[in-house]
Amino acid sequence: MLRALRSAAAGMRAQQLYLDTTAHNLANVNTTGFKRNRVGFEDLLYQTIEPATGAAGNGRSAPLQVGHGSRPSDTTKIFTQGDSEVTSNPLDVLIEGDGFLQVQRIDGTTGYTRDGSLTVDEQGRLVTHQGFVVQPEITVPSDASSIAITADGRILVEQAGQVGANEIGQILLARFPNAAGLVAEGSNVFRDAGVSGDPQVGVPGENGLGSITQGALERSNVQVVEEMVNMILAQRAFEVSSKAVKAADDMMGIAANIRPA
Amino acid sequence: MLRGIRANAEALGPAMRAQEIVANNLANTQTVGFRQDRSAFHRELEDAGAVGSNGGTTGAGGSIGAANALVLAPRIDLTPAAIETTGDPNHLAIDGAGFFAVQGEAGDLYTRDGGMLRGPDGTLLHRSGAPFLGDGGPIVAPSDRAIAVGNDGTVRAGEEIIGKLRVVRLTDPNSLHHVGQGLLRSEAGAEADPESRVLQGSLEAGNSDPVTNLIEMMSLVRAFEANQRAILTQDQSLGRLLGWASQ
Repeated sequence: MLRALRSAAAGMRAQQLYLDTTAHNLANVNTTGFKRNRVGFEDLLYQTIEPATGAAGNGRSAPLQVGHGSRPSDTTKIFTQGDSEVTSNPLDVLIEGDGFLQVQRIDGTTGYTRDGSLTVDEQGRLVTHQGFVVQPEITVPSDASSIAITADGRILVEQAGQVGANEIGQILLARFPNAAGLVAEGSNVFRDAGVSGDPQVGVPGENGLGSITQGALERSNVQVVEEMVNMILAQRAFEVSSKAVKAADDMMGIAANIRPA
Repeated sequence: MLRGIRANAEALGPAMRAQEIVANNLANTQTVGFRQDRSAFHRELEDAGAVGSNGGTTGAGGSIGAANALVLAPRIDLTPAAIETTGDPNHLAIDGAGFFAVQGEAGDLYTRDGGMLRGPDGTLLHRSGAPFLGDGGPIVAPSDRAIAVGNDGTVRAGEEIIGKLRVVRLTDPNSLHHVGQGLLRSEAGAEADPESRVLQGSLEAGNSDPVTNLIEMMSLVRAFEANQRAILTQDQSLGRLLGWASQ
């Protein structure tokens, strides 16, 4: 009977994480480049109380097994494309398709982001709005009068006293065989935790990488309606497991009163 | 009288166990591809020889409780559940009665949960980390192309066919048992199931239905209570008898 209590409690814990994740998705509905999380659940181990013994006579054709509830098995990022929003800001870039911008994280390692709201730092380097330097480093000259970013990531600037545009660098994108294995680090940045495979860095628009659109941003791919439905499911699933706790408790109470005082 | 108490007491254990199974079903209402257990009780004659001798003393044939054992015989419910469209190309669902085959450490395992992950080398993995089986073993997807899965389980990377997921029908569904993590093992074999269709971008929910499980739960509590009351009544009768005899 205690097993029923524990199984139900495990179910309630799992649903709590479901609700936590839903709340996090909803809180990020307006976060640029945010990818929604999806929780996966799995059933816990089963105890075989009596094994199957074959169908003949008094035997069991199927085993008697009792499971121990459920647990969240993984939270995967769903990397579907978010809606695009035209901002007309020349340093906003939208990745249309697969791929991440590479940035240098504070500890020197490479981070990956879909948030293309770029700006320049005091040295003229292209940075994300959190201040992470875009890799490979691109320095915009201080006298640049206009900036253009092509679909394949080349950055062209016009400078005072020069005729025509100068190419000052090219944004490269990275993609992963198993993007779901990336770890979200907050600040819209992902980290390679060694299970996503080797990043393939390349020119936007080639080898399956997405192309770049200047003056637009990718919004989150959170669908509010879907998250609201998930919230209802989490709440109700939590509720039914709590009923199982009560039923188990009732039965233990009854058993304790087989012989009333 | 003592036999009656024992018969009622014997019903308590299986009812508790059945409640544990219901609690597990209810904990897994949101588990993708979960297959719930349905409890069924049946009475089994423990000893056929005892029936005749009991017949003489009770005058009611072999139907007296203590000669029978109450057996809890759960079955895995294989009813398909609702299919949810997720839009993620790594999500697969089966429309039909088939199962995906995955490579377990000790033989093939079966699952209805088609949430794929990729290994670092591109191998298509089940949530538990076990590789999905294709016709020629695990399927390794190239990293530079998106994969498309056809209704017959054919996996393509771009135009190139890189494998065909094994979708099987189990020859003896009764021999299935749970190993956890959404996986089932079968002692009997499995054969290819050409009738089931694989749907990419969808996941199948668990088939653990809260309504029937809650009703099952309530009736188990009441059955448990009824047996407890019966024990109580018989105990009181015995007490009265003993009290009368000692006067």
